[in-house]
Amino acid sequence: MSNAPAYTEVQARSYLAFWRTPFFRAFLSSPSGFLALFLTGMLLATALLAPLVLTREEIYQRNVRRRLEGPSADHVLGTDNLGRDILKRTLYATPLTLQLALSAAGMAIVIGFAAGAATAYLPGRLRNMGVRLLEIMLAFPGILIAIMLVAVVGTSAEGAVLAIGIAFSPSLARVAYTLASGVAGLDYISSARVLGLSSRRIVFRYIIPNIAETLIVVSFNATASALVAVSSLSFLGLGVQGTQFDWGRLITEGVLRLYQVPLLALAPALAIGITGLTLGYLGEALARGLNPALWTQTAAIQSRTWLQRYFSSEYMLLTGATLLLVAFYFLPWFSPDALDPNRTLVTGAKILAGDTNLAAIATGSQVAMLLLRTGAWIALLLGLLSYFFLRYRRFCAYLGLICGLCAGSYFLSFLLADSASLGTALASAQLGFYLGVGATILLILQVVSDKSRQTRGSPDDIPAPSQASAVEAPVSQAQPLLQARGLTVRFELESGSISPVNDINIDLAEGEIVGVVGESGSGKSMTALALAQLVPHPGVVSAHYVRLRGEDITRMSAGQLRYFLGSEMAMIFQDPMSSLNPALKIGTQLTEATRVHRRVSGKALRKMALERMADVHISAAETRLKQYPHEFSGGMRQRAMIAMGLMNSPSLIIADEPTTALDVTIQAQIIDVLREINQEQGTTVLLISHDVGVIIEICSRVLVMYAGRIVEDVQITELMTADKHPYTEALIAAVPAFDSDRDEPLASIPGRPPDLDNLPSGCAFAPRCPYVFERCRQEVPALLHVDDNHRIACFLRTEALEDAQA
Amino acid sequence: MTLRNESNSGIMAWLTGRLGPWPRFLLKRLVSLFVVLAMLLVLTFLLIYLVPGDPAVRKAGIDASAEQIEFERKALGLDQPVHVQFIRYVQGVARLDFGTSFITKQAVTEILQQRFPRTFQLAGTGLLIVMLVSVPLGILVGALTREGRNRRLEVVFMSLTSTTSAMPEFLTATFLAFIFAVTLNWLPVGTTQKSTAIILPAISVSLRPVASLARVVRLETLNVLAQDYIRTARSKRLPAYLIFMRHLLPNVLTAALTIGGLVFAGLLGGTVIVENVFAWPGLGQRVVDAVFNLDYPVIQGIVLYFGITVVLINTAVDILLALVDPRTLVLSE
Repeated sequence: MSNAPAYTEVQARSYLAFWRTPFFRAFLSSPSGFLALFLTGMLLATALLAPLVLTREEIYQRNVRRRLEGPSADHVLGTDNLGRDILKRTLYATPLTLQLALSAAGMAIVIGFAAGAATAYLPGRLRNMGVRLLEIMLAFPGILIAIMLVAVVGTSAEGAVLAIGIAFSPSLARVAYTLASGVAGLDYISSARVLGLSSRRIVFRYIIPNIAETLIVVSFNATASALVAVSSLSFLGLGVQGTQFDWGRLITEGVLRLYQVPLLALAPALAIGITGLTLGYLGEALARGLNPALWTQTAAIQSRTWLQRYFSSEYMLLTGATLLLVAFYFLPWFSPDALDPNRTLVTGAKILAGDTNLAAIATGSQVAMLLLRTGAWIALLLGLLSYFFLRYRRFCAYLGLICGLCAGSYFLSFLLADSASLGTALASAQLGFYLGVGATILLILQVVSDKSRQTRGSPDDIPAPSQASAVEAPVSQAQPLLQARGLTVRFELESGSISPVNDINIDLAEGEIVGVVGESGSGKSMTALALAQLVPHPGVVSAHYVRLRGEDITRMSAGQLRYFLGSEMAMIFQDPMSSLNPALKIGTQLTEATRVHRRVSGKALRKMALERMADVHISAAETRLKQYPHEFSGGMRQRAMIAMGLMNSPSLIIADEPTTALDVTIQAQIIDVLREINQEQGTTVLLISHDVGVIIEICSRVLVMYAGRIVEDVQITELMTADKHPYTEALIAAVPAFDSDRDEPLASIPGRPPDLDNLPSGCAFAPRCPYVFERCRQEVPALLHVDDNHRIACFLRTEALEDAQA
Repeated sequence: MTLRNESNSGIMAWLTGRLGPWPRFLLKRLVSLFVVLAMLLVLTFLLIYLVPGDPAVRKAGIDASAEQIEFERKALGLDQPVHVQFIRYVQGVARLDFGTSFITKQAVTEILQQRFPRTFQLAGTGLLIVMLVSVPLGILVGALTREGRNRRLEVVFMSLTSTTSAMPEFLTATFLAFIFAVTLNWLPVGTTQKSTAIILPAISVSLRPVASLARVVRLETLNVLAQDYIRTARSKRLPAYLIFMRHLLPNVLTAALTIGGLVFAGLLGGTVIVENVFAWPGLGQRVVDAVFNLDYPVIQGIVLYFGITVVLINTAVDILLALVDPRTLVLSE
């Protein structure tokens, strides 16, 4: 359910034609909408016209001499055991079947929704009992309840409808209950109440539009299952009685003669299947139409009309090819003189090999059948290939369609005329075959050339980070443990590409604790994930190099990377509850990486685990190792996370907001543990936090990030004294005093962080900067040294230096 | 399925307050099992009163004399007050005595013993297929389509599963019989003599739940893959098989198991239809005859058997869940 704004009357009036309304556009935004419309039309037409067009005589008149025949010109789908036309009887049963299904579904919906909504408004205890009763009823299969109810209400069409109406209502009641008890408590309903809207307006403007989607989908699903259930009861002989018949009853007759005339059962079974699908598609499309969140999206996508989209889209071609396969492959089987299926492949091979001496092995219509299948297979194959692999899928799919049509046109001529000439059959078979072969070759060529282009083209896709930035070396005091140059993360989205991390350079010395600070969206967490090579899909990391202990991890194979980073780097994440697997014991999670990367096991491994637990001050470690995360407190979980990171004695720990989800006293514990580890084991720590207070407390140096770039790199000792980047100044000014609310640490920086897909042309901070001047809006400032240990990306601080150099 | 018992009455509170998590959990499950079974008993007992017509007349036959009818009424115990009848009914059930069929004069217990194993075999095989196919399939597709990868595969998977889950059992049954028995003549139909005879009925009954469960498993896989602890596992550089088998599977299985009970109930419902298509001699075939002939004792017996099976399976699933996922014990408090 979305809480997007409700569809207002003003919007409704501004659209004149119904097919241009957002409802209809969203309805048709997927092929299922188109299919739903088409199939519903067909179904309704059949239901209305069948009783008018077909006479009772045609339906009931017996003709025993022509019983159990296969398809022929007179009887398209053959005849039943009394010589009656199968197709006509199937069509004739449409209105009754639909009527029964709709009444049963209507009843289930009315009973279910009423009962569910009523349950939601019962007082506490009664409501609990009602819900439990619903759950118990739901545990039993609906069809069994229906069968039992039929015993009570009697075996008849009405009885079946009643039984199913009652048996299927609990599942609807459950949905209605959930919706009714959920919707009333939502925020926007309360705010509408506060605004003083009348109950009627609230119901129609806010509640109905927001639950309509779910209600419609559920109702249509219920109708589909009611259709199946009614048919099932009729099939079992517990539904429609006497001379009346619905699809279920037709199947009963058919199943008995499955070996003689398979279509007798398959035709009505297919009718049920198609109707069920129609209902499903219709519900889905209606729900899409009623979902206001989709209106603006689809309006943007649909610059072309839906017709253009369908006829040029691969959906239609794939569907077409599949339908062709089904039609062409299965129909010939029902033909009285079709070939033995086991012989067709051999015969087919002979024909395609150019064996013209066919009279000995096949008649014209048999060849026709064969080429139908060949055409169908080629069409389907091309459809599938083009759907999955190709850029030029449209072209190939058209070829596939042509193959199918070649075969199809012949099929028609076969239906119209009794026998077919061998020459035509052979000609179309060969035409279809060669077209298919040609198209397949084209496809393969296309796939191969696509692949080679991709492998050659990939480095060009990512723009090389600017050379200038690589020249300006970052602050470094001792031997660098980590050196990253030109680190960039890019996401290709439908709306365009964004770079949450944009061409940054980082140096970390051995034994340092370096902080990364910035507002959310500044790219600090993404920097951590990029260094760890864990950026989520579809993000792409690029860099000149990322060296850890002198080894470039961007050039490592997946296996090398796993081993190297598995022992050299550890990560600690924000929320210790969600970052530990709830289904595994702490001990397992603590030791598994060591077991894999260092091949330590047994007592030695346990001893290591106990030592690390002691390092992070977890007492009773023996028992703690056997416990699950939910048995740990928040702070203890985070310490266990740190212990887990320490298991392989990494040289670098990247801690991404390790204290944010914890309360203040626990935060101090975690910071102490990190500091101890740094001092005692010499582990380098990269600490990412939006909390300047935490950074100042523990770090020796801090990197300030804004909009994907490092804007300042400064020693903590200089942080309070030296001239700083205006953004850093604002961050420090926003550090909360002891008595201020810690939930909103950055509330006092005016303005919003920029959208990454819409960055200003110059300095990203310019719109919020109190010192902004003209140059800031035009150029992006580079990160330059103002002294040996201090880099700033701000014209305000570096312009003077540039002048001096010039 | 959580049939949660929230009885806060004095005795329960006193009892549960004094027990460890496991005994407390088992006790609660036992109580709710008992409540549901009692409801089942009452419902099946009431069946006789709900169905129109006089059972004594039906048993004696339409052309029976007044004495004969009176005799049958006594034999059925219908001359006794309702509460006595109910107690007798419960006693009978406790002795596994459900009376005799009006039509065939066969003991209902005998019918159940003959036919229930067949139905259970069918539903059990179906459940096995459902679990063995849909869980790996859902995880595989989930892994391939995570974070919006492979949009095409997602579209194909979604449309295939939604089509399959809309297919009624007798449609799949008819199609499968037509293709594999009639056309290809690979598998037998309408017999229980050959061991391969169960293949087609079991597939027919499981195809729909396979599709719907595979969808659920895929969604759950996507959900679990997006969890922080998977990122933690990746940050530990564990090999892929450990991430999937150790970190993903138990969490996905929890979801699969939760609806596994419902799936089994659905399978039992499906057997009724499928047994009739394939002439599989289980309870499904018999219950239709019984309903058609208003053969109360048989209906009662079969409904009770199905009901008890469903309830027991659900309880077993709850206990299994608690074993797989230790959080369940705490959450059910």
